[in-house]
Amino acid sequence: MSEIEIRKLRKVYGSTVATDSLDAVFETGSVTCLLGPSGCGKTTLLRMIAGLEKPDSGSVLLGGKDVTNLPTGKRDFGMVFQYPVVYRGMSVRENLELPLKQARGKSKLSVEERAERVDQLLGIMDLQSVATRRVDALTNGVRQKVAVARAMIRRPAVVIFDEPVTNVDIVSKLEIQRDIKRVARELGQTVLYVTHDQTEAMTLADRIVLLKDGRIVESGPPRDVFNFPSSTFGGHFLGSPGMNFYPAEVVGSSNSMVTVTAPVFDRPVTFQTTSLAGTDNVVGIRAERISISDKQADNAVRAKVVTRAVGVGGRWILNCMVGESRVRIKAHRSNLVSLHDEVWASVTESAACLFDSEGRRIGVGAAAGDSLLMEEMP
Amino acid sequence: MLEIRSLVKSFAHVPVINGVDFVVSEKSFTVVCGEPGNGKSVLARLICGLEEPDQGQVLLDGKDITGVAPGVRGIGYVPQSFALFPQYSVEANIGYPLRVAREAKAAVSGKVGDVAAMLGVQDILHKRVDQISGGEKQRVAMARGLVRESALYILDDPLVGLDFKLREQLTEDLRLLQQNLGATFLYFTSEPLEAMALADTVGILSGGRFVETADMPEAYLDPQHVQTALALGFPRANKLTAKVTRNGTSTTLTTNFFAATLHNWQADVDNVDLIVRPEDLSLLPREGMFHAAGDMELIEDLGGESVVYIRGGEEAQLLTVTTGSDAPELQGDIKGVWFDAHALMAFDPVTGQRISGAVGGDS
Repeated sequence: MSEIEIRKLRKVYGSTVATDSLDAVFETGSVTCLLGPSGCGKTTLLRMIAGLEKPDSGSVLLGGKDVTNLPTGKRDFGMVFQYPVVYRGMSVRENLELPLKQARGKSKLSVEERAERVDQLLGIMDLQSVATRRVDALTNGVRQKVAVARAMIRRPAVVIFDEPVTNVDIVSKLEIQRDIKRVARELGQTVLYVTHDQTEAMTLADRIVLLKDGRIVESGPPRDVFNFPSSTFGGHFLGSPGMNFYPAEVVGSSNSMVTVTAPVFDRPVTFQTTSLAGTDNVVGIRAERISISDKQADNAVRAKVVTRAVGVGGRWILNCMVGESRVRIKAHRSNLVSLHDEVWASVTESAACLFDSEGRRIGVGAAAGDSLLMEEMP
Repeated sequence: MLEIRSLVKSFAHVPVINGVDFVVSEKSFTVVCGEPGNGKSVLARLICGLEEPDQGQVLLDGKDITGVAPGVRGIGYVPQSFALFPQYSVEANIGYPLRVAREAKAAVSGKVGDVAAMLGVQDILHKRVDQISGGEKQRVAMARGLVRESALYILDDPLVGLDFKLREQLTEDLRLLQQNLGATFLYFTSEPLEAMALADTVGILSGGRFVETADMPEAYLDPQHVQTALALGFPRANKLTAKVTRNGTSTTLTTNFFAATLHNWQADVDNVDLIVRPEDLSLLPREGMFHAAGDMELIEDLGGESVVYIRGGEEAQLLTVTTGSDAPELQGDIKGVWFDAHALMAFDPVTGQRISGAVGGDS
């Protein structure tokens, strides 16, 4: 019922096209993260859905009904921004109760019903212990939790978040992310969440929608988008570091297979493709899908370590040279590597992606004897 | 090349820099790492001459420059917030320090072109600053700080507030830039990943003084101060407090999560702080490890690895565990964590110093 659909949404500011012909469906009870770099159009899209910005063309549908021209106040939306919007002089309970007291008509609740609602949300969000405290006595993180609860208390069909954890501590950040997921499921609300932080999107989202230059370039469950991005931009933007890319030269092709050579392969590698490979193809390989060893393995290439740093989770982030090509590799800390070492690097071929000259994925590496990948491809 | 001796600086009788001694070696990429409010910016400004110390000296190549005016110290400076002239072109902004120093026009345009190319802003030189993006502004500000030839550059948290992906890109660029310039970079940040990606040498600033200075990755692998262990590493390391009880030749460490009996414990203390890195905790039993029950709070799936938050122990403490990309599949089966005694690092709770004769031993 609270499904959102956008059709051909377009917004232009002066000579800048903020969003262009966006189509998407956001399902009831799911959390969608709108992700992308500054200026990609994610905030403009969110504001158009919320009715804070009028599109130049296209429409927004809520539960199948066109709401494009409906003012924000009548859209049944809750909103949370970077800075908590709460009444500091009131207690947490009063803050949550206020939106319910203001409800008129059909949604008007009795005193008992209001108390019940507030108790339920205080429970889900672990706020009982501070229920009677004044908001100005709380930390910024807890205040933001209260703002989240306030936005959800009327049980609006849609709740919108614009980078809500930018200014809160790590513990509150985790709690808020957990709460958003929990409340969305329990109350069947549709959640849209804007962020530029890919980690947050990977963690929180049922679905990631990645934007670039006002267009949607990726849309799918986080794991699928991470493993098999539809575009080189998705491969670059998700993951830290992003995918390695190399020019691929086609040396053979048949029905649904194409064989290419690339600087990091010791021999030609076959990809299962969904469309014919043209010229200027690109091979993409995640830094996590290249393993290193001091012993020569089958299909390994020689790689010289040029920089070495400790990254997330204590893993090595290595920059290596394979011939003239630079390769980023993430390796477990138990690998003893030093600067200027030469190691053997081997690629998990079934995790390699093939992109066409426009940067669209057209294939996935075929592991020997493995034809399941085709079916798993999103 | 840069030496700081017994530097002290107070504001309104509150000491901010509290007796700093520090040496930066030539052509190194040295990172000063510390949490906000630990005096990083003040120290940067003291070195550049934008603040005057109450006590102590700043020496550059053996020469005392403590009283020398900032413009003639020969130190390049990239401040935290970029104060660019919005109505001027990118080119005019980058060239500003050279024009102030009255360099010849031809030389200015050549140098501006070079540094712009290094930072990838050569194609926007004629745009006005108010028409470029935040990331471009940051690069322009960096270019302006680097345009005057200098053997030493001070960069005060230049990437703060930027998009995640842009930071990653600029971090890589900075490292290459420093190598290409062959200059010394002294870089201030509170971001552990930035510090770890950039530093040859890292100094940990805490409470207005350096608690440890060491090379990377040694500072990460074998920290000698508890603040070093906490400041470096992402996600942040877990800290447990333990009570020490002796029984003949063996020693028992009791924490919220476990009691471990050790046979090779040397230190004569009643309490210790134990640091355990997220990657040294296991979600699956392994031989020789001891178990602590806990409930899974959240899994952050980063694609290549996962961060798992587990709450457990007597005081319901939150533990952070990093693991390969298999955690989401484990989700239903997570029954707490397993500790590896050999991966525990012990620190004196009063001084913060590492207790040698480390933990290890039987559980």
